[in-house]
Amino acid sequence: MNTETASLGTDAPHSVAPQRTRQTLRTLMRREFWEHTALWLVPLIVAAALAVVTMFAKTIGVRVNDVSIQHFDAPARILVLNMSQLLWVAVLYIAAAIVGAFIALDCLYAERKDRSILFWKSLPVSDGLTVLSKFLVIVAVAPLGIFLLAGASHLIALGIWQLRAASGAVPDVTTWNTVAWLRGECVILLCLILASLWYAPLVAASMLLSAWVKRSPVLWAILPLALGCIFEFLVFRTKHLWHFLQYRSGGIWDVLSHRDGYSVVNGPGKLLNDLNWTAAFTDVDLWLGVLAAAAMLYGAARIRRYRDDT
Amino acid sequence: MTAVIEARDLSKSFGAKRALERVSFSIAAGRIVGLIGPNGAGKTTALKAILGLTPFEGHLSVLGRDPRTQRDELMRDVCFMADVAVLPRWLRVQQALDYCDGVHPRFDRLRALEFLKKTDIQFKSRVRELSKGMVTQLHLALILAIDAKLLVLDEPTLGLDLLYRRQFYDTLLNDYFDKERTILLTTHQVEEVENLFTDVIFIQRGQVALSSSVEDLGSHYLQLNVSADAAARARALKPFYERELFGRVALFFEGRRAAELAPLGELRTPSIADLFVAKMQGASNA
Repeated sequence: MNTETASLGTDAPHSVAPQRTRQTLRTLMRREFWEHTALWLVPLIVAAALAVVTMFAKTIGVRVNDVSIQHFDAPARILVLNMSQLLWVAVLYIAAAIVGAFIALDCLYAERKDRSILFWKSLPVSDGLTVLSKFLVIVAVAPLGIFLLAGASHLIALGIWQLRAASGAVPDVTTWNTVAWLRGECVILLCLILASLWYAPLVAASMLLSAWVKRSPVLWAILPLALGCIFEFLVFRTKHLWHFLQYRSGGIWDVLSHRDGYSVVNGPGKLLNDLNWTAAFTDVDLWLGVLAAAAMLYGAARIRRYRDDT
Repeated sequence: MTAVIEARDLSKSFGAKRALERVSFSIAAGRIVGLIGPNGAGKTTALKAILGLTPFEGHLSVLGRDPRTQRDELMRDVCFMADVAVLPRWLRVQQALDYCDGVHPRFDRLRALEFLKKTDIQFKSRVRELSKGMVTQLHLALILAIDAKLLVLDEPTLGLDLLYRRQFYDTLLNDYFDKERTILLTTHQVEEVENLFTDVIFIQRGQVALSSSVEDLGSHYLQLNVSADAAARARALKPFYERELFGRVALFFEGRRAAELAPLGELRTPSIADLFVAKMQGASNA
């Protein structure tokens, strides 16, 4: 059976057409939602829970400067609109972030654990595209979904509240203002983009860990950092690692909410003007983090390249 | 003929253990090749090297490509099926079809549907709700629908009952295989599929113990069955392996002419399963 060697490949190696790559990427991203139903189910359940609360709440017990929410003046009633907008997205975002963190830690580990990596690798999909699709779902598609869901569910809740207020069941505490609402949506969208950029290295590091560890990625994510902090404190009496972790968790929000060292937040209605968007989006650490994320994703793809079910 | 797979001095180590030791073989197009060896012989390592799933030393060309550097292009022409348990348990049948359709440029959805219609598989079912046999049918449906040049099967019917195993290989032969396609298969159930093979490669302790087309086996290997009292004469012709069965002795010869052996007893071409045992045991006894 031995014979001359020759190429039986269809063509010389060539780059995949961009259209084909886009279709593959779309399919890979759909795959993530099939596998991780929590990605869409948890935010939907939280949104439904918020709607139920709106439906059955009897009143709102908020007081500002000793003035009850029922007696807010006209500008303050618009602030309630903006505040509830931010509250809605914050609750949904936190729920989705918890789901996203677990998915990032699990996604490249679970496929080895259940041996399905042999199936995924039996198809013509590169490791780079696979890793990229998982990353994009967590940092781009899911936040965009949260933005849309928060917007829609907030409007629905607002409608429910207003209907109940009209029948006298609950106090009428807000006034609709399209410009204020749109400005609120802009703030939310910009914050979500900023969050995706700032947390990209955390997601990428989790995925790198997920591709690398032999077992228990969640434990690997927590234990070395916790032990590192304790070790540093016991031996050197310093907290550099702890401060670094704190900084990478919320540092960008300090940059966003300060100008020349002073807080710029004067209430939810003026956030679009007040917040220091320029400083936040040109922050060196933000973009260094994005570069680090790119490097870690490359590392995760390289590790996955020769990972199998063993 | 053209070689689909060409391996020269293929080596692979796991720490101190040599899983493959300068292995060389060649597989031509349009063949069904059995890669046969005992557990831990290096079969799966060889398959993983061919599929670009593991790094290795030496030269390996698959469909003219290097699996180390051109894996993504290679997998457009290669189909691979490990044992049945690798389809993710959460995947729905419909999603499996959608996924293959979305990522494989040569996936023919209608062909997969046609095959699935003949089974009891429901489109909405998840893999975890299917029996082992049905999961294999689903995986087979996906593979049949891919227009690949090389199909690599690693113990594809492990754990299946006889009916599913028979159906699997019948489908493979009737609905898939043609002269343009090559199938490389490892299995423990050699007796069941030996009529399928056009070529065999025996692998033992990381080395190729035999590589031959099935039609050439008859001219190289002979099995002589003699009564116990006539065995001494036959042993003088130096068989490489022998075994006793119900008072008769089966002796296996390599490179002997039939005319030399025929007068001594009943002569036949050994089955692949018998030859495999003879080669493996013969090598261990040597």
